[in-house]
Amino acid sequence: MTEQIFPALLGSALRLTRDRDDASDLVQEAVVRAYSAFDRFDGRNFKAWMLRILTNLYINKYRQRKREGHADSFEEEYVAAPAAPEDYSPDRILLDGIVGAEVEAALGKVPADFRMTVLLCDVEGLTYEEVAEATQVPIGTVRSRLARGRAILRRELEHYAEKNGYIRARDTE
Amino acid sequence: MIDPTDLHAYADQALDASEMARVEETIRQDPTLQSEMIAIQDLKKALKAHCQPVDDPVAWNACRDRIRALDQTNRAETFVSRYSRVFAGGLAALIIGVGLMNRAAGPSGTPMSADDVPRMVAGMAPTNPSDSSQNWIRNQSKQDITDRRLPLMFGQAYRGTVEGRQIYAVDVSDGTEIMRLYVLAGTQSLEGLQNSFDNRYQVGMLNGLNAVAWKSGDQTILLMGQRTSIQLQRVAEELRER
Repeated sequence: MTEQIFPALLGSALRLTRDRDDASDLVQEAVVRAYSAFDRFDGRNFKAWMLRILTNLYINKYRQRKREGHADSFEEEYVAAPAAPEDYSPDRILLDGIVGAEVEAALGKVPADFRMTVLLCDVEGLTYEEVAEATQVPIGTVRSRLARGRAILRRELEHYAEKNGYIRARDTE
Repeated sequence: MIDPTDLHAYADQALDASEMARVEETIRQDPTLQSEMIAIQDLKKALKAHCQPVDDPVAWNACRDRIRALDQTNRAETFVSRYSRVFAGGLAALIIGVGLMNRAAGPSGTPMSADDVPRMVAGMAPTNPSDSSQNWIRNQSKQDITDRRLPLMFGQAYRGTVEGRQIYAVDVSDGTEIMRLYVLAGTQSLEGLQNSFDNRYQVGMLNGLNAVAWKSGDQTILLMGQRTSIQLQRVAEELRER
């Protein structure tokens, strides 16, 4: 069971930590914890349960590092995602030219809280309730982090698209 | 005007039916929101398409090894705590039985060379293929150690002779790899093993397996198996304490 979802866990860990060794450590720690606490698994969604353990571990480590002064801001800052301006071109044009490495790089620019929420929802397909449990925040916070995280990600992808000539910079249009 | 989070929740189908209908109607009337919705959905698709699982056999193997080590430790601890009384009883009976049989036989009080161990292991013969180990131990020691759980712990019993020294052994299993327990009559120590840090055991590798030995009267008890030295010492420790 664990072997089947291991690549998904490692992918999530890698996108959270942005470091191969840290990701490997994080996943191993999560699997060991899950093994030790398997009697607490409710039998419903194993992948969601594993992701919850992994995310909890990541949050704890991240907060620990923050206390030690090594991490960037973890402050919750609600900023509503701006609605698209009227002249905004659909992202389909933008995203057509984008490749995996650029998406991964853009994700790396999204602050950890928001990135974590977007990944759990959009990549791993967790429900809002499952994301809320995994990240230990209310559903309202999940909603705001999703809106904010996606907005930041779109902005970063726009920068890549402009830089690579997929679209023209908006101020020059 | 619509709350942007509602728009995202609509894209994620995370609203109840009435909310979905309300947001859908709002979007239908607003081209800007329609563009925004397309943008959100395209972003979701792009993430799903580009953020693939990451396969790494090395990381998985490392993970699996950790689980196996943990599993073995748990099994050993469970096994010892669950069966230690019976195990200790069987061991005591085995030692008594061997002691009775070796009162007048073999060299006494001499160390045994590690070089003798491969010969010892190879030279052990089953006591009787049809005879279970608990019967054998009972017959030797005249003690009744019958226990329904015993077959889970003790397997085949063996006897052999090395350099005139009587040696008895019994397979011990906790459901994983089998360990073998040797009683080396008239043996004070085993050469080739080193003292553990607390000097309670002799530890090392014998015949390609981890081994832990300790002295009991004028006999040496040797436990060998595909376990770490620490795991073997844990088993031995429980036995000695009881």
